[in-house]
Amino acid sequence: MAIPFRPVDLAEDDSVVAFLIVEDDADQCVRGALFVIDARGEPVEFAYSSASAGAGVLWRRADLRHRARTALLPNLFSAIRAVPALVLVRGADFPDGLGGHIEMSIPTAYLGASSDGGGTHSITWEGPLPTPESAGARLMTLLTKRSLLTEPFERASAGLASAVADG
Amino acid sequence: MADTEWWSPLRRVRRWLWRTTTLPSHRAPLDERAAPAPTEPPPDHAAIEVTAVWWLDVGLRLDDVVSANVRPADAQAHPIGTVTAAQPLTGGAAADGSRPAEPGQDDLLDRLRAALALPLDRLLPGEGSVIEWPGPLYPFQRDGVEMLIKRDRLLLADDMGLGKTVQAIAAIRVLIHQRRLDSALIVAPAGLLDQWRAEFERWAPELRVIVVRGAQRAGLWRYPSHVKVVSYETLRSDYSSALPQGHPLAGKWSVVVLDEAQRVKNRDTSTSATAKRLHRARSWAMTGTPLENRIEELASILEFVDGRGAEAGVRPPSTEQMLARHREVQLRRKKSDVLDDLPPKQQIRVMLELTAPQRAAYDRAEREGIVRLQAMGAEVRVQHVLELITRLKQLCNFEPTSGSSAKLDEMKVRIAELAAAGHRALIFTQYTGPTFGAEALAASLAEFHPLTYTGALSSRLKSDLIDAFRTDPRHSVLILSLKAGGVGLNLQEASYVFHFDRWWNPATERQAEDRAHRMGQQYPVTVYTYTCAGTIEERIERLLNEKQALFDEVVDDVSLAVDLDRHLSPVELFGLVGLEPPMAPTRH
Repeated sequence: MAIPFRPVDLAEDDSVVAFLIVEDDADQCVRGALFVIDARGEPVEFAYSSASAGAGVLWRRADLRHRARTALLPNLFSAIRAVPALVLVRGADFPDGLGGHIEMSIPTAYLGASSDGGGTHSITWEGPLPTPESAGARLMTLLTKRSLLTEPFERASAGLASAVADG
Repeated sequence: MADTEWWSPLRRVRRWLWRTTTLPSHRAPLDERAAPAPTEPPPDHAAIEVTAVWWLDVGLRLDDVVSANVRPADAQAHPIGTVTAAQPLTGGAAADGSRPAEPGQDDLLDRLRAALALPLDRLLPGEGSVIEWPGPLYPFQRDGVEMLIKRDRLLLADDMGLGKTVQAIAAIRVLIHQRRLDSALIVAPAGLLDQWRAEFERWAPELRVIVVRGAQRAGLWRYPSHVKVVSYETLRSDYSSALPQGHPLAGKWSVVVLDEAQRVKNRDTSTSATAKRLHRARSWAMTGTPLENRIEELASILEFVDGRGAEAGVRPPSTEQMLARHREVQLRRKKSDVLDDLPPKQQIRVMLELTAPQRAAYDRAEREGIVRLQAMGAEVRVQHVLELITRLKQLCNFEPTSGSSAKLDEMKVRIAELAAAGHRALIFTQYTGPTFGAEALAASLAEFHPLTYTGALSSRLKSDLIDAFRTDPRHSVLILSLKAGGVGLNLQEASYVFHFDRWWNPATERQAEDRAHRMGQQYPVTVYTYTCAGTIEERIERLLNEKQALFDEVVDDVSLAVDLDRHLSPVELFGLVGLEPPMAPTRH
């Protein structure tokens, strides 16, 4: 008689990481996507949305955009079912950090632009720092080792563009 | 395979891959989570409009997400603006995996899946791969893996030794990581099962591979695994139309791979019919010799690849149709085209005169045999001719009384020279016995510490014997029966090959030679082929040359017309012993 067993997932563990992108477009609209992948870069979840800043005469344009982002971000995060161990954000997307919009309880890493045109990026942390033994630290190590720190942003952008093009 | 579904996360994953959350098509609010209370007073009119979030479960971690993520339909004012639902995505899959056909919806999902998927080159061996591989693949092997991943139906007909096994394993591994495959069945010759398992351990160590064999194999069929490896014989034995419900063989496989697919070349055999009956999403056939004798063999292999059986009453395709299909499904690369650094293979034909005792015995046997056949008149059958031919071929190997052998005398001198220089040799013969075949050779070559590999050995002994040859250089010679050892084995440790006698088709001989002439070989490979002058062997050699021409035409250049008259006919067979077949000859 066969010995019953339950195989574990093929990935190292169940930890996942979320890549957040937000883009402004010319129509006072902010659109964004949250792309969750596992440690091997396989897609787990994807949510996208947009917020229109409208034309409020009493608001400065920058304030409207700020408010649009503030509305958009929880909108995205609430749609994702998985609990990522990390959130990765491009520093250029959020020069002032996420803190002005939303309070994060998981480590958030801001990736600076590549300093050497290659694969070296500065990383700034917001929220709790991942401890060396944490899932977030393990994920960062694996993502770095597998050159997955920036590539998923490209997929998220492509996915968002695809969805927006669909109307 | 319904009984295994409880443990298989991959199956659940695939079902959810198509799911997406939908929102009502009318104006609808986001729920409270999506719209936190503002910290500043809102403007006096709607300034912020938030479109509904589209959520796409592309990974499949939770299976309650769809119901949980559907928003309430009743509208309400957003504190800082108006929330507007976009056009809803309604293309989620039904629970049974079927997909609705709403226009536009599937297109978006397809584009999203394509945009979000990990690029294939990040999964294959090479720099930046997210999967750890034990080594690189050759560019042509990467091409082969990509083709296997993209094509549900493929005849991988690379030359022997180009790594078809590794390509199939890499493709299976990537497909499993992509959640596109959850159950693979590998059907291979019995002698290659351990080799498949070893290659899986090396190239896909995280996959669970079960070799289904032995008296307790009924339980092994049900043992959870990603891959099951089984011999053609076991498959034929275990498969029946009365399989119990839930038996894996009665279920649907993500992929069925036939290794050495020429084993199903005869569509009338139960082995061939069984392989074609297996329910499968993908069909991969692997063989370096899709055509050995007749064009019908190719047709039978294509039936498997195309997911067709040899149903009675179904008219087979025409030769032109078959060759057109062959062009579509075959991927074939020749060593000379893709391996610049593979050492050359040199063919040396050695023509010998029989020793005096052999000649006397041969002439007597031929004379008496022909007289006997002639005496049978219209009763003579192909089988009777084959019996005579076999007897004559055996006498070309050894004279049974004295053991005299022109081939052995010549070969022994060569082996002594190459063994002294540290080289090692493979000797192929179609006979295994102590008078004419492998056992006789082993006894005569004892000074070279020969090992003997025949079909009589158990799988375990075969595996141990191959390991011994690979690791112990004292064994200068490995004697193999052509049938048991001519396919699948990796024997790059030897750089000399001897064909002690001739088989009926050249493809089999090329396969045997390529046990040594394959990737990993560091030295030029020299192949000696023995033929005794003025004997049946010389006549057989002419036939072999004709068959090689057929293989070249059909397999290597499928655009050429095929002369179907070239296969071995009764006329040709009787002609080998100088006779004509009786009217309407039949083979038994």
